[in-house]
Amino acid sequence: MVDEEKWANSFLGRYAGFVTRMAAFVVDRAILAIITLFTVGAIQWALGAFRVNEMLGIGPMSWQAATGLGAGVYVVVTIAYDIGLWMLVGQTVGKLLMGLRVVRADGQRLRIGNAIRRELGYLVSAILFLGYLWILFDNRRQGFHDKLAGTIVVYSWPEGLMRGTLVRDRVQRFVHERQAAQKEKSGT
Amino acid sequence: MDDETELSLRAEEQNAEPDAAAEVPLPVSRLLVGLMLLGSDELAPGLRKARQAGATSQVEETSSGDLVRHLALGLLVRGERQAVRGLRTAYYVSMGTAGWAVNTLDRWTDNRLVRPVRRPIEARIRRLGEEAVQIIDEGKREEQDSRALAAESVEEIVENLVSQMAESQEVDRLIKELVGHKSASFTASIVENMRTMALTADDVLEGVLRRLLRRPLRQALPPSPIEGQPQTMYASRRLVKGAADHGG
Repeated sequence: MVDEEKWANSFLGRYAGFVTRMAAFVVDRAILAIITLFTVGAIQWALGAFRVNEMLGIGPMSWQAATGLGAGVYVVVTIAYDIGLWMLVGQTVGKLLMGLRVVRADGQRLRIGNAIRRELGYLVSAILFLGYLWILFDNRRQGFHDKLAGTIVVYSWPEGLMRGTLVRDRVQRFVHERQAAQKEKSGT
Repeated sequence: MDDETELSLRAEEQNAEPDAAAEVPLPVSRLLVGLMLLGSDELAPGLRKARQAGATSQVEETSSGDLVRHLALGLLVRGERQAVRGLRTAYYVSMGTAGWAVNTLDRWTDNRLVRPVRRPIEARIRRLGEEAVQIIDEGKREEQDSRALAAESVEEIVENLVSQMAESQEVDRLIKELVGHKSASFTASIVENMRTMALTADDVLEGVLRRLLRRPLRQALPPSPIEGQPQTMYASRRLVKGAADHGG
């Protein structure tokens, strides 16, 4: 009989493959698309409701303007979402769902430089989709964006939620400091 | 006691300030009466239906034990019916006898000699009759009030119970624990299955592509710097050790 825990643990920290990463990527893009749609809708509503159009002396928003606005919002939201979550918790919502984590090639947390390079690397990888397909052939399952940023993506399950993240580190540090302070207080 | 004295006494009684506590029935008794009435209202159609259903269903005797049981039940029902019939007959007979007795007494005492004695008794009887009418009226009103009070109280009690349950932190915790545990384990199993399928697909897709491209199959991936480690790679060694010591 297979020990399920042992079997699952055997994947922990292993380089993640194409299908899992693609699934996570699709989930993330869907989330970003929804956020963008809502944001553009909210902006359009606000322009109409508060008569900003009249104040600025412009007419109602044309579809070209709305598309441009949507693209701008998408870029901004994507950058904030990806970079912010990679740095804070090492995974986006899609990656969390699929049990993946982005780390530096030496296993440490991403720095801002790594995150920005990885985000820009997405554009490079998107050329004919080659950068993404490279994951299938690379020994460390790195796409072009990973190569550029010096990052790897690993399976992070099974694990406790938020374990080993910046947020958890801070919580742990806070708890330990409080415990130490209490011990010190009770000792004196 | 003559007629005038009798009338003045009654007028005094009517003008007297009624004792509020004595006249107004206790809410508890009113509630109990109302609940009984409501209960009987609910019970009566149910019993009627059950009786109809029982009348249409055929019972088959299978053993002597069943026969004895059915005989006992039949006797009980028949006894109850006969008792009711007997009581009804006794009621009619006694009413008839009482009526005859009153009429006869009325005829015999309706003369000048007995009339002075008869008047106060007649007044007393009349008063008792009026009181009985009042009591019946009161009972009618009381029945309606009790029904209304019971219906309102039951509704209020149910509402209170529901709101108390909704506000109770303990109930909330229990429900959350129950629902949360089930939904969490259900979601977790879906996610686990999805991850396992994707993980298997990772290896399968790579193998198929390599075969198509006539590249050698990958034996094993090189180990990552954090392979097999719990995901505490972001924490400093001191913190990891501290967490392990504290069981965290």
